[in-house]
Amino acid sequence: MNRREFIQLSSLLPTLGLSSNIFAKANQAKAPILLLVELKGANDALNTLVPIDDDNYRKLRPKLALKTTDTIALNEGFAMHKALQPLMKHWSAGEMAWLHGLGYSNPNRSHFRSIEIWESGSDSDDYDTEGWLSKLYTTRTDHLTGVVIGSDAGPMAGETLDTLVMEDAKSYEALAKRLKAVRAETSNNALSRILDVQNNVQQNAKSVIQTLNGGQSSKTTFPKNKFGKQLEQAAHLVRNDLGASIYKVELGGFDTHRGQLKTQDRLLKQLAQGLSAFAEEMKQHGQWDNVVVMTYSEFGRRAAENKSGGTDHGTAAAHFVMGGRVRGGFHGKAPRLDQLDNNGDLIYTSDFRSLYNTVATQWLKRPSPWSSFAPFSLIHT
Amino acid sequence: MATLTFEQSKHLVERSGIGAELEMIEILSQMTKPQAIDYLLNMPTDYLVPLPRFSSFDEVRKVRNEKGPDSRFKANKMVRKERGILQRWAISQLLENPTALQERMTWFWHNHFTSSIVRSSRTIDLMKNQTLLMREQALGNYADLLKRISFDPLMLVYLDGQSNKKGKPNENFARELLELFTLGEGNYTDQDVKEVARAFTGWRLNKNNKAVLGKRNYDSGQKVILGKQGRFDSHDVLNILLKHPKTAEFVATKLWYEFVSTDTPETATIKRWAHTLRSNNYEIKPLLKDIFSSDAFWDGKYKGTLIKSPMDIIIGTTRTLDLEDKNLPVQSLHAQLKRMGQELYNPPNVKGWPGGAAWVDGITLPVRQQFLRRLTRGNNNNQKAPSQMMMQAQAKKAKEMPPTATPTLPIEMWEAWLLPIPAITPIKSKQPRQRLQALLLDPAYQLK
Repeated sequence: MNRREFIQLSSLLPTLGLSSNIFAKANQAKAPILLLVELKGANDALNTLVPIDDDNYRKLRPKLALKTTDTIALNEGFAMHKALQPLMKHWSAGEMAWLHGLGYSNPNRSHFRSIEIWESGSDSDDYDTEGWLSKLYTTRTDHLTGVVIGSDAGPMAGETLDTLVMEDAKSYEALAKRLKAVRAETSNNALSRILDVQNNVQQNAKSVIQTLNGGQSSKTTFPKNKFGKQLEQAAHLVRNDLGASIYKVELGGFDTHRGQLKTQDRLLKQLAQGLSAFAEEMKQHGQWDNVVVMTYSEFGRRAAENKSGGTDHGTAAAHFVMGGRVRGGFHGKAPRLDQLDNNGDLIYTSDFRSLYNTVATQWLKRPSPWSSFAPFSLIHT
Repeated sequence: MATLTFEQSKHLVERSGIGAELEMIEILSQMTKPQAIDYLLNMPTDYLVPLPRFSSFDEVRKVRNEKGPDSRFKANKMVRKERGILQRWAISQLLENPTALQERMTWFWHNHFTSSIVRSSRTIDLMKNQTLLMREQALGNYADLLKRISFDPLMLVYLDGQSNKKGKPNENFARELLELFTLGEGNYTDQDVKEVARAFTGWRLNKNNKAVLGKRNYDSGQKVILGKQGRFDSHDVLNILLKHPKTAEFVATKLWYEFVSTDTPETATIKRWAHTLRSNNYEIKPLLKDIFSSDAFWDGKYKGTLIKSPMDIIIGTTRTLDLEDKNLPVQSLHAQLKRMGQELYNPPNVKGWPGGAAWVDGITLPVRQQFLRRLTRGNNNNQKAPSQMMMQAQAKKAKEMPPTATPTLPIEMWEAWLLPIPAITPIKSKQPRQRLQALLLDPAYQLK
């Protein structure tokens, strides 16, 4: 077996080897930027985008239902959690879109499994770990394309998307700086794999760390929390033309089985303040029109509250997308609160892959494997 | 017949076990090849780190049903805590069991007949019982193991066997039985899956978490399975599968990737091994004997063509450097296994860990190298323990790491001891600790 066959057998991709980053950058400077925000633990969407005029909402949640005064009115009977106030200017400017009822059929309520479904863009019964963004590429990208500031590659997992994952810049620098580039000719496939990965990490780490340590500093003050720092680093890399087009950050702690009101308030504040700073920074540098931000989570939470002041694992959820060229407003149809499934969960109204199809074709301009899922009209052309 | 050379003995120890333990290398190098293989296959298999007690389903349920808003969380917390206890127990067992081959095969079968500890949420006892079964049958009999795992309580939960009922079949177990446990993909049809599912209807767990057949939900009708017709039940199906030649070939192929190479095996070799397995009524030892005696196992072209698993990197290096009885922070080893993508009892999905090239990527390779670097870090005079930095995940909690024992082996033999192929970056240092670190950080150390 030759090396190519070996790599294909392992469902891997050819040549992870060194590439010329300089040329790649020149070509990629205008590549559209996508920032994914993972809300880890499953955000309770019903208390984020609130069906404030629906009596069923208060019936299902006698203790957890937000009062009108705890929300910011939008329209069409919906209001946002008031912790999202920093994002209101984007809503008013028509550059923030809410997508109703995203989910999939035969919903799985395990965190682990459901995030795998979301991140791989696969069916509920299809075990597949290749990330949905990696699926947009059939051959390996010739330069660093994805940067994850967080714990796992998730939607960028797989071999086609040249991706770097770092928990934070400082510890990554410590981790990667001693990896040396190694050159050796070999017919040993296993050894080739090790050398290719090592050279690739070494090269990517070098350019990311150089970019982070140099370039223009930010004009915006980011929140001092972990999420804020992730966004600040992502903004720095975008602003100083790293050349990567896909970024991912994460905010954890949304698994609010109890004491939800306080926890979610704190997390949504962090979310909104962080993203507001990120958007401001992109605007300052004339990049906002080139950026799309989208949130996702493993699932939504149960429609009815539980007895511990929280909510349990559910199914469909609303998510938002924002950016200078995003067509603001509501997209899709809100799930009905008086028509729940056997488990008391919301019935999804749009498959989450409709969103992926949209982002792939309208934003990243890539052929989409999800053409059977009707796209939203999400991007101004 | 000549006794094994150091390199041969090392190859046999490392490939059959976990790590290249000098003590074992020395023992086997006084034997001929057949003697050494017999020795390995007949080592005791009764070493067991005392098992902690796990709460029964009833005890967990009692907590869950207590009055008060927090009872559910208490019960979940209780199970989560015990999950960690079992995982740490398994690490201690991996570090301490003198029969490394038994450990390797235990985890081979765990990865063949996959279940997840996350689905052991009623009580960790289910996973504990399953891991004891794998351990008991690690070098035992494949047919017995197949027959027992098919009615294993955790397997019934994990692959939805409990929801497989007459008239409402759930095909999850049936499909994996054919695809992953016996025949392998391409050797059966979708119709076979449906019929096998019918034969397995009716099994459920009783109050004591024992698998029982409920007659009411069992579909006793005619089935056609792999071209045979009859009123087959679950036991008949297993016998049909064990008579099918593809089953032994599938297991033999998996063992090739475990013990020989990431490269594709030759068909003739697999057929021969499969024949050994079947003609010995699925006894595992004769097959392992064949594998370890085969030309392919010793062929120079396959040296260094296996990529070490996280278990090889973490447990193997610890055993190699004789650090296992140094009061290691087991929780940290657990965290490291998880970071490298092999959290024990928690495979990514029913297919298990794919292994091979998938073990190393841009995320895990730096983590593997960092672990090795920190394991060997220390001052040059062996006076002070190197700070316990290797376990980043537990940096604050972990105790100081003992210095690595300086091996008794002459320094010029270390490369042959630690690397399967010559170092990629020539190692110059004669200073023991620097040399040790350079060898462990060489790309060749990622291989075996």
